[in-house]
Amino acid sequence: MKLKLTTRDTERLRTTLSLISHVRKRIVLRFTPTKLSIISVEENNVTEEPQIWCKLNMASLFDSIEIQSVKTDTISLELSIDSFLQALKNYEKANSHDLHIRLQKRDIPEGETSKQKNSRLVSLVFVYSSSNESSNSVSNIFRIPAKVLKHGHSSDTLDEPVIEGIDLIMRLPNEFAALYKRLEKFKKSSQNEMVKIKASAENGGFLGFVLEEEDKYKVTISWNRNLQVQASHYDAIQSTSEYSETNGRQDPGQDQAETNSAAAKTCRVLVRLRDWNMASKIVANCENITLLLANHHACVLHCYLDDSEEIEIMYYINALKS
Amino acid sequence: MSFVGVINKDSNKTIWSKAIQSLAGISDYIKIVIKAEALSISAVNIARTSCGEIEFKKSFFYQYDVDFTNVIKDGFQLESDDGDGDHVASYSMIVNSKHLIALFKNIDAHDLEYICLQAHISTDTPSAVLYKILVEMRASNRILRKYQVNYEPVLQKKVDIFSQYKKELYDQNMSEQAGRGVQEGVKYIMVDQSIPRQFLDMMPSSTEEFGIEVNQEDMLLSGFTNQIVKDNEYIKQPMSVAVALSIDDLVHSNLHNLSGDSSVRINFRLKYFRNFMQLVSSINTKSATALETQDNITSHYESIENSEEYLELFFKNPGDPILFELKSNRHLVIQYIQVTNDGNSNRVERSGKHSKHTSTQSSLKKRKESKNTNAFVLQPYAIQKRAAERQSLPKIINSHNGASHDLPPASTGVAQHASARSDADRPADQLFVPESESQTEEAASDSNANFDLTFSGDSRQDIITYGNDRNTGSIPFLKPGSDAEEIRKPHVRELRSRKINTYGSSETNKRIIIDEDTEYETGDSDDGGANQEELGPTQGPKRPRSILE
Repeated sequence: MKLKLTTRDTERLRTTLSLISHVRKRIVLRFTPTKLSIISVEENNVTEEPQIWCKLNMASLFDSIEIQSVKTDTISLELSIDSFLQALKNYEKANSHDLHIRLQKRDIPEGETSKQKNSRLVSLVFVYSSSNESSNSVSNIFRIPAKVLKHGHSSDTLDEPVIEGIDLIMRLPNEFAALYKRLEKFKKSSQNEMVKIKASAENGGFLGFVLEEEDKYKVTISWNRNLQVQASHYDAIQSTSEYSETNGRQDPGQDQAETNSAAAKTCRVLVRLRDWNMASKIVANCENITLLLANHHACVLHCYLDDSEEIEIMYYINALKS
Repeated sequence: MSFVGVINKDSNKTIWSKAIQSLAGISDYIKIVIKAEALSISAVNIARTSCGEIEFKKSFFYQYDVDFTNVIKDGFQLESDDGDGDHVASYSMIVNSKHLIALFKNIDAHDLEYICLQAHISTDTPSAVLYKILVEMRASNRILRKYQVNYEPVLQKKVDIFSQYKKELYDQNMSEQAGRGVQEGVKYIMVDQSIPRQFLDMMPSSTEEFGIEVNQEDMLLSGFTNQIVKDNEYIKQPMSVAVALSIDDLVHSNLHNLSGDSSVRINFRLKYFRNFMQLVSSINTKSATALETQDNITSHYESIENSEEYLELFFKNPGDPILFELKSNRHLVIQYIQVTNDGNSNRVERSGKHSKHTSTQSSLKKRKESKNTNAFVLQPYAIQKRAAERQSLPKIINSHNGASHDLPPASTGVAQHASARSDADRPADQLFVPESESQTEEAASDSNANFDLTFSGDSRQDIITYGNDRNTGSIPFLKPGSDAEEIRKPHVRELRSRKINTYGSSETNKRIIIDEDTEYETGDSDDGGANQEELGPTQGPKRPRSILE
């Protein structure tokens, strides 16, 4: 197993990580020669808790790439996201040239016999050299404890969730992040507070969030117009139909929103408010945000870090049974 | 008055505050040693593995006066200097660090005109101020704050590891010219203090251990956590951080003389080293800001000197203590001693040629052992343990008894009451002899006379209180009897009594006793005698008073 990477510019990698660092302490990095996937899932409850999948283009991130693994050229590592971020931040602060990232055997702490040696425990090592004020060259070495996820291991069979039956695809405007602040205001202390997401393609699009407590209150916060909506059936995602003219912000790249009668129905997804709000940082900082909804089933936020569309971030929330 | 130290520079006030804070992080007790040329404060942690000492040179203070004539025997020592047989007189005391923290933490340096520290250590000290450090701070809004911090006089055991290492190093340098290596001897490194500082900044806060490894080519600093963890806990460990730099980039070292492929690696707990480096960096950054705010030339020079501040490291082999020293702008020397883990618990952080140690015992156990087997153990010189005091108790009491006949009396009932109260606050095994035992009326009148004599004609009396006249920009000393003082007095008294209420209610157990009824005040009302004038402005009727009244 071998992993050797060199890079100069870590800014986009760092930004991506910082968007998801508050969600969980540990992440899985899956390196392949072409793609790096940054995956944040709940270890014990992969399907019910929200999942984040970031896909980054290796060639645009790293200047030199060397990946070798026994069967496939895929290496999956689990490590602490905070350590990774801290190392990257230190590198950026140091005004250095090249950052070398490589996989290394763990140093066996003394007092541990070779029996306890576990070859899956490794270190992801960051090395760069910097110079201080008196122009001394100092080489900096960071060793982040990491665990190699082997094939057959449950975490390694991590697959990107496939949402079947997308009912509604909605392009969210950049200003949408403000809505999270509204929702935050109504948040209560309870951990399991739920929010019902309602969406429809009618009248230029409608996206509403309903906070409700039986016999007490019902609050609806909604985005009522100017949404690019594409409604579809299982098989009709790509089908073209008349464009909803009420939408003034037509995107030339996505000129296929449709409002046929079958899709005119309202889509409903019940999720935990906490889960939904966790994506606020992503929505506030990303471009081209699309919300995909599967009625009573799931919702997915899909976006790109910047206009280059090289870094793709997906946030999956499975619906709660109502 | 036997000791007076006044700090008036903003940057120095901040340094003082930071130094106190730093030492308070090491121990509950801070030792203060007063010498003729310098004041040093130090602390040893409870496990006696780390020791920090900060020496403030006389030039650090605006005013620094020590007089050892008729000094109280407790705490007074004459040490012989190795060099020329001269004797260095010193007076040592320990103070509860919480009290100092309460006084000096978060002081607003710009708002304070001065910090004045005083101690009466002569045999004719009035009992009300015996074993007390008198602290006086005046804010620019003309509020004068006075505190009394109780101390215990101690006899110090000198930590001579520094001088020993330096001497060894010197001898080594001599013999090296004859071709001997430094494998077994003292290794010396002088490095820009920004390197270890920046290194510590990079480290996760949960990192526990710090290591230094040197060989002929380079020096490696590493921070790591040496835990034995289950596999699934492994990735929860903080990452380890290391920086390496070539020995050629060091300001100075004797490591070129290391032979061949040998390397030395020592490691120790990071906690107190971090504390030390924080002090170092806070002193540096503060001087930098002082440059911006103060436009005078001296601070500019200081900052130039600061930019050339180097950290010096002296160490030998694993298990031997490592010493750090930083000399800051000629006024200040910061020394830090850390006992290191012994050779067996050495962990090879670098993968490669040095991996020899495979051991089955846990490193924790080893670390404990290493403390016992160290060639050097930090002596409990800053006598923190009551037990240590008890050992030396008989001697001290004797000397104290001898001296106590010369003690000035608590001449009124109020003062008696006050001192009795402070006695009651003390634990039973204290070094203090209750006033009632040693005082008779005769002795009282005798020593009263002595007391007057000592202070009359004492030229230092007019520098005891500092009035910083901001209008003129100079600092004129308030002369006794000047009009301004007369007017200020009632205000001060009111302020003090207000303080007593707040202190008395919440902190009865603390030994900061703000005593409104010092014998000076009662003397003022009872006798009003002519000798009061000799007491000096802070104690007598001539002490600073508010102009506002």
